[in-house]
Amino acid sequence: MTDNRFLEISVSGQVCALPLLSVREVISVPDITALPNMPAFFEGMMNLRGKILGVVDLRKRIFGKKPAANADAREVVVVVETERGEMGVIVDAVNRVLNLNEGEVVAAPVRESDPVAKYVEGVIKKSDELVLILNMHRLLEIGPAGGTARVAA
Amino acid sequence: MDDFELELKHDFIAEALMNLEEAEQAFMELETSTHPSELLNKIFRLAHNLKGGSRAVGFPDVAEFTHQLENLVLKLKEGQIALSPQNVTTLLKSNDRLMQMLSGLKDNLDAHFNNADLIAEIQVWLDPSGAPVAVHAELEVSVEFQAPLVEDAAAPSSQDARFEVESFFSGDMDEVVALAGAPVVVAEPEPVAQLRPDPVKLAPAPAAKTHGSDKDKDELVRVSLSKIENLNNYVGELIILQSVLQQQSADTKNPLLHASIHQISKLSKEIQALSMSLRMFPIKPVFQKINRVVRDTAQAVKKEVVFETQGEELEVDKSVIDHLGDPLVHILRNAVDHGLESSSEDRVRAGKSAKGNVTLKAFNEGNQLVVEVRDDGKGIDPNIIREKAVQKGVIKTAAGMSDQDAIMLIFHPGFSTKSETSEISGRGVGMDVVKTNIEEIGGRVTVESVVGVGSTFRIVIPLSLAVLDGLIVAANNDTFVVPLNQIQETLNLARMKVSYIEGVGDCIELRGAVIPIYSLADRLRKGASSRASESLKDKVALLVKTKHCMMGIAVDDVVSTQQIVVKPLGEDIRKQKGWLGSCILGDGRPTLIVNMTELFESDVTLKDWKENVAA
Repeated sequence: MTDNRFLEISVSGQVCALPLLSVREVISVPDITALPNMPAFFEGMMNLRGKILGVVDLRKRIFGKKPAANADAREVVVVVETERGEMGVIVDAVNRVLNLNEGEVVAAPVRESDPVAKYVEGVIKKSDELVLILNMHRLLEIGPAGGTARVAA
Repeated sequence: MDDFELELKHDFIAEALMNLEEAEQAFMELETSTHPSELLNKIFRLAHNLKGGSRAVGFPDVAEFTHQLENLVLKLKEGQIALSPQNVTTLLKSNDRLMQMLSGLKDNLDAHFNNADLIAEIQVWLDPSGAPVAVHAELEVSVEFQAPLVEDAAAPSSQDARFEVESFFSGDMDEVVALAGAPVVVAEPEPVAQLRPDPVKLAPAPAAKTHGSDKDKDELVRVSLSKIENLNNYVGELIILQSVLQQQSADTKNPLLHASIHQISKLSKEIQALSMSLRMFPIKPVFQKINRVVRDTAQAVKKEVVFETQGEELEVDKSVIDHLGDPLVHILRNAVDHGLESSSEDRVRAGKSAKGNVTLKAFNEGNQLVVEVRDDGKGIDPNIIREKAVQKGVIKTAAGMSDQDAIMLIFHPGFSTKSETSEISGRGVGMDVVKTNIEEIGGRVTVESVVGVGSTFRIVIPLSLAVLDGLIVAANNDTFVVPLNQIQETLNLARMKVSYIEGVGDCIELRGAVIPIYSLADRLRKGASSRASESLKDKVALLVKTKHCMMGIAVDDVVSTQQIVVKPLGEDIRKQKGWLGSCILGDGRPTLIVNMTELFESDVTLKDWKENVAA
């Protein structure tokens, strides 16, 4: 049975959703140590109670740039667990937990040419808006596909 | 099958596998030993334990097979059959088969095995004159078990089942043997049935404990590796917290606090050393496995090899043991198969001893473990390597490539000088896998070779992977950690004359050598650069020895040295060359550990440097 619960988050004004079971915890943004020669969206690494986790800024990752500072920005780090291990993702805000009924999640008719398309896994129809379900695996791919700069050729 | 029975079977398999490793070592020693009878006693005991145990927990295939093996060992022991390399081979094959069976049973407790081939081979030894004699297994077994029953009754009423087994096996072995060897007249199946209700008593006890090691009274417990790893993680946390505490205490003047923190730091260091040592295992089992590999390989390619090992008493991290085995097997196979001359006539003609010499040596060098494999064979011809490398498209041209560089090409993926793959070392696994395996645990492998004299493979692995002494340096407004063992010395550039030479870049002269200076900040910012963009005047240079030359790495400042706990980096980040891992420093911030050697050894830099010097 697939789990129909999602964590609704805001990323650069867009409402998105992460599968709830992949979310470990939500924390305030800690000190982050930048790493040299990494893509811009890779913020660096943070210390989570003695564990070192990579941190990706979802706003830069999905939309390519950090939006102008928002007055009521409540940036947080969502710690997620994927097949790649644990990682932190910075988002603008965490809104709520969505508990959906069957049929509320639909396949997303993505525009192939859109750079954001490859991170979208589906769409949730809410009465007033559309929520994008994000593909965490692709989002956190920092390999060549993500345009990694190598330290040495 | 109920839980108890299941557990019993799994315990038996685990113990039996351990015993088989021990048995293999004994088999290996048989060939060279001058007093084989003691070894045969040991083997007999192991086989006997295994037979009883396997029958009791319900592995009839194993029991039947060990029964036959036991017969053979008994005859060897009593001198009815003379020891020969051939029957030792049969013994080794039997040991392998038992390992196979037990590993098979580990996965599937109901597995069955057909051992008719090996049993037939054993029968030939038992009765060389002709047709295998059908032995009534049940009959023999009943005789074997008369002894345990007697012994059980006589043993002190200890609740510890293992103790009873031990006292039995160390006690009256001769009696059992005498009984077993005596002509059998009565078939008496009851003892087997009687033993079933309480089969624990037959679980084979580790033979090492039953025999001769009484001086070593320290009791051993088996602990799962994950528990040890957890402990190490927590101790790592402790060390980090302790250094946070130490750093913060600088602000206060309370003497009691300082004293306590000093005390804690001493204590936690000791706890750390202890917890780290839990992961340390002797390298001996790896060497034993290699011993066997060399013997089998030598036999398969019909070469006579004198194999010598040194330093098998060294203790190394568990992960090192796990990663060292396969590369070593490969290197040793290669050494025997390809390293040594194909015939002893060839060797004699070259003025060497008829038998080939292969040495496996392990020793500590500083904070590193060095494993050397040396053969006195024909050596690696760099010219052949060059030719093949060009032929296979590994390199475009061999012009200007030094002999040493050419030899190192054997580690290139997809490179193999063998024109035809042999059964021994041509398993499709190349030397590149050796290199990858070793590099996975932060080690390096190099080879030196002189044509006609021999080759030496050298594997260098950091002794402990989890803790290292680090030098904390500042560069580019950031803090980095450099493993202390990579740094030869530190130089204050303010007191040195830094010259800029066209084509070389910034360099200094130190004890007659020209040493190029690279800037860590520049390197981390945008890759290779021969000219440091900032003034090097007030910087500190770390002298690093890379594969081919010394170089100075300029950093803004050296902050301190500290023992650090290495944390793994995520999968994606780890692929980045030049980073060893990360750690958490006293202020709680994660910090990158830079592998200087790797970061600056990259071919681009080196080639640039070399070409520039030549120009």
